[in-house]
Amino acid sequence: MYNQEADSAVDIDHDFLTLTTKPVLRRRRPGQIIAVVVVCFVVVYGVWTLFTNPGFGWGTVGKYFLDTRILGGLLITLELTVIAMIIGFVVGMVVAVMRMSDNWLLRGVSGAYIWFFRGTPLLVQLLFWGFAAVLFPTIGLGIPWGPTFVEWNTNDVISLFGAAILGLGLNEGAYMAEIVRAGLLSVPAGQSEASRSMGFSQLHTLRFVVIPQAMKVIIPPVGNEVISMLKTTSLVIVIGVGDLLYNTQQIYAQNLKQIPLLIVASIWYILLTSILTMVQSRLEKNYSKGNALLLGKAQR
Amino acid sequence: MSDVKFLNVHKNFGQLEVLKGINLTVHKQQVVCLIGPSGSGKSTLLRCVNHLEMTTSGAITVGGRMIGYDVHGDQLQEASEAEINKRRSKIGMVFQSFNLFGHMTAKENVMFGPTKLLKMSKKDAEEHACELLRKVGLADRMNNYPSQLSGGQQQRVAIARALSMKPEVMLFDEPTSALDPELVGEVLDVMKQLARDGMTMIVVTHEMGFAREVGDVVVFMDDGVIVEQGDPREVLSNPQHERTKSFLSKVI
Repeated sequence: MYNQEADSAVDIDHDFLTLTTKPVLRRRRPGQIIAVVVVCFVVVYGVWTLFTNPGFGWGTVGKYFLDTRILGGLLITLELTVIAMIIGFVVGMVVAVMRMSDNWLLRGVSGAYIWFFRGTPLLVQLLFWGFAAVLFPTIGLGIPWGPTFVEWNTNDVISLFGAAILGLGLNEGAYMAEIVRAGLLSVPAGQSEASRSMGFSQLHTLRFVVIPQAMKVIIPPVGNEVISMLKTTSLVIVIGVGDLLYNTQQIYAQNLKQIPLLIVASIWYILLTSILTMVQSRLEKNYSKGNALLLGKAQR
Repeated sequence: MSDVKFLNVHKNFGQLEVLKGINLTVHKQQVVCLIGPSGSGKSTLLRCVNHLEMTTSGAITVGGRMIGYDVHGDQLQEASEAEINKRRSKIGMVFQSFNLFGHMTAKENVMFGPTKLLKMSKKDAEEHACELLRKVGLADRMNNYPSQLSGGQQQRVAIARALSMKPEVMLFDEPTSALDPELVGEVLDVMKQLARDGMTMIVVTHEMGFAREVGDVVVFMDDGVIVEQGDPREVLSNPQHERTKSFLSKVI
């Protein structure tokens, strides 16, 4: 049993007042000192290796950093990221709104979409799109079970790049749908009610009242998704799209300098990720209009 | 200004019958206060007026027109969304929890309807908004966001926002219930001014003082029916029914 009396008992008579005139000392933390020594050792050794291990081939890194094949691959990576995210966002918005519909069929279909695209690996989905021509050799415009007006060879219409875009974008749509839905749910129902009671349509209410306020909840995870997408695009090498990683591989397949070239690719990825992180924090500020924490309540 | 008629209004939530045949007429420029215990159906009745809730049967007309319905053969059928929106815009509503748009300043809240729905020019809408905010005593708070305003101030902006659509009828759903006691007065004052200006008002309230002073008619509801209605001074001081008596003895 805890004996409070004994524990907190202080002999007040015994020069206690002189103790109160000096600053209080912190508890000693020997464990922390050991941890700091270990971490320092690891960091210093790591940095030392970076400079002394010839395997890193910093000279080669410098030589290939601005190679046209690397920059060309980089461009493809950026294109894939941007287009896939746009498709993902639009699909996600539509699926999220369907998911919240009061019609059971729309809810069911959007639920199935999310279930399917989140339930299978992206790598497998990309391979599927790459081999789409096997499943649908031709693509046409027409009425199902009825006449077809125009028809193309699938491989002509859906290039490998197109397949990559579809694979990445549709997969992203499923994740984005959940992010958007969380955002829409974060706006209190009273906001929509106020707008509807003024005579605004459902669509206007969504556009002018709900979405602007949902954005502050949506943007942080979307930022994550963009950053994640930038790196996920490297999966498209399985269907042979010439992105940053693919071109990197092409170069080291010839000169066998794998490590330096992978470092080149990594530096580019990390550079772009850093830029995206900065853009994200800018956007967040922009969409936090009216946020009590930022405005402060001092003016009341 | 228009009168509001409730004709045999029923409302069910699943098995639960919330309104059991309400008949009531609110004349032009009248202030009608709905009182009663919680769960009596008064808020639901109010929300049926602008079709935030669909009635199960019966009709509500504002200025002789039904808000959410059209006659279809020998039945009523829900009107199209566009039609409902058009009719709704003539009815202002003020909510218990204010529901100001959080991403807009006070002025933007009041300008929102006129610019987007009434297609008023930005300049005219701004002038109109400033005038309304001055009317509710918030000329110096126009550029504040709702999060920077007290509850009483937010509710006054919400009243200005409802007025910005030039409504024929104003609905108040417990407008002071979410307010700190010392802020209730400022909102009631704005409502009194509105009543003096001749606005037709239906007010769900627990403020018996307001009902007595401003109400032309007080309606006591319990368990989905109107138990008693009449002149506030009569009903509040000399209730005829047992249920009214027991309710009033608890709140006054």
